Amino acid sequence: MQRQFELNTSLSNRADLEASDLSSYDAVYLGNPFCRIYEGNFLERLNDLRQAIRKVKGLGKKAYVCTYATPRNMDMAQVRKVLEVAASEGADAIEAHNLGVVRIVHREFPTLSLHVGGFANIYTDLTALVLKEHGALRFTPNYELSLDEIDLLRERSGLEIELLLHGKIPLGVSHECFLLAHQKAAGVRCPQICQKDWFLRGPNGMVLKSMGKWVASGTDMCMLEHLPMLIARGYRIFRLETISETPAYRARIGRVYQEALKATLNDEQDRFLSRQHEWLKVIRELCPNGLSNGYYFGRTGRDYVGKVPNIRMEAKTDG
Amino acid sequence: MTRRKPIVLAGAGDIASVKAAFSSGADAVYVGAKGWARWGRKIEVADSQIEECLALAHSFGRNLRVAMNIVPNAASLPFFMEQASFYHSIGVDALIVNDPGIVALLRCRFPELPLIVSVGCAALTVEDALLYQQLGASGVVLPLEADADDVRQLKEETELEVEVFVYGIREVIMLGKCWMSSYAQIKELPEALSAGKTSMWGSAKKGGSCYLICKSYWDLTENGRTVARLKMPYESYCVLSELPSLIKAGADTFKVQGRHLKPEALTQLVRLYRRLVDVWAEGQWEGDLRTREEEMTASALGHDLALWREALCKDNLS
Repeated sequence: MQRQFELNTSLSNRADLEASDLSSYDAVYLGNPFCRIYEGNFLERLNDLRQAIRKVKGLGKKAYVCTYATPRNMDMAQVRKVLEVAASEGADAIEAHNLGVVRIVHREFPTLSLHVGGFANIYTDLTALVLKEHGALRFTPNYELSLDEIDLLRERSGLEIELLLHGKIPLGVSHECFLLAHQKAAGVRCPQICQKDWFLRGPNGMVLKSMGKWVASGTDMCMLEHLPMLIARGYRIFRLETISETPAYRARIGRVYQEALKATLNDEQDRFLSRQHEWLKVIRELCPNGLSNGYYFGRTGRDYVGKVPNIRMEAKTDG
Repeated sequence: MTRRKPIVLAGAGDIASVKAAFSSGADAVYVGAKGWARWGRKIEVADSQIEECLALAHSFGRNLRVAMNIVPNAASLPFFMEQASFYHSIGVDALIVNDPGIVALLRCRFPELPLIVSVGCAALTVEDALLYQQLGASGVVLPLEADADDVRQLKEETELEVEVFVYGIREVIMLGKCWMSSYAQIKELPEALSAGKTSMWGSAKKGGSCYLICKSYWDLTENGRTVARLKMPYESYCVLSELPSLIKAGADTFKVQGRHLKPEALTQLVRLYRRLVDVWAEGQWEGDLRTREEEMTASALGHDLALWREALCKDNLS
């Protein structure tokens, strides 16, 4: 029977894959799109990438392959090698965050399905249509957009939309590693430094997560209580962004949302309501900096809209 | 023999600055369209003034570009197109825009109007540029990360005008790939100029403004341990000794990010780059600054530039 929804996630390298229980997921994005020297990055270890695609497909899941978010000319040869591996291993799709990569996939690898990621800056239906003409089947709108704006993009483009459902919201990408300057103080060096949980604590209680070459929200986007609304609006493809999280986080958050999605789609409202408390308990444990979802409601990104009490101010320590 | 030389393009925030830029030797000036440009309303130029700036530019035999680098949403797209149509009708020499779909739409609607891809599009590779060329762009502003090799490759493989920053602000996150500001705060505010149009203040892409939260102090922590108190990198960016290599690589335009500078400061900057480009073209300079004074001028103005940007952002917050 065909699944009614897709729940996917992301991971960077073989160690991450081997340690992760992916049973709750339907698809996995492979590779770290932010840094070429991220330890064991599938996008540099092509044999690992081959094995990973085979393993994920062998588990009966879709294997998607990421590409670099902001490549330079000097990186494009490696991007093409990654695409060759993806094509030869029968990867189910490529995720491109960059228009140049979109063009390469469309022209040089026409057999590969193309998803366009959140760093591609899709703000308008006009751009979505441009990408459709260049072979895109699916896209993640820019994270700043509200659900009302996303509805319109979907309606006018006719493309599949992938929504971030839970996890740290990507907020920016850099060519410089922000953490390198702090190796001595941190007592840990590249390429291990960015694998620690680094948080930036700033004004008005704001928390960001730094992974060196990219920054994300310190709070976790959480749309659990709004899942019935998302389903009612017609969304079926969801991402749990776990690329900077532990395998335990990936497994536990996956179980919560898979169960919640099934309950919602089977119209089991009582089950959803009765289990919600338990699911939120897990989420609270995993997300000590609090929850947010403001962008989807046309508000400040770090706001949380909903009935679940936010726990940002209760957080005393890092996760 | 005179060597090929790029044009010097200066940003200007008002008519006085436009005059100052042309008088000091700018080949072209760009201004922000009121309600449609990044960096906030205080340094945007109203339509009537843009007509005046255009007349001034053409009287000098130079050109005027208009930045419309906010990305309109569906509701504000008609206002955006109406505004673009006006600029086309008065003979603006190019529009600077910030979205692939908008490039395609404008090219379709105004086939003759030169379109420059804003730095906010973060187009850095040949493949990026080829896609924009295919959509109808005539030029591309490269991100600050670009070097002479990037310029050379783009010139060899595309037909686009390649514009590089020689003066501006470099932030830790790539321009066009950052929405930390709207994560901190965003407000939907009506625009006085166009009834029904609103702007999302706090989003560089959607509203043109940024609260520069990167400039705040942050504690870098791991597992409850603070290892540093810091500000994210944010510094003036000034290309001097690398100018010849950029020229040899084929850069068409040297961009001075100066919309927020006072006319006096802009004059100094434009004069500096005018002189450096001209002496290079005459074969008299290969990259070493001829005087320490030139380096000091650039450095001092860079400090001004950073302070101005911060002041503007604080105004936007209040």
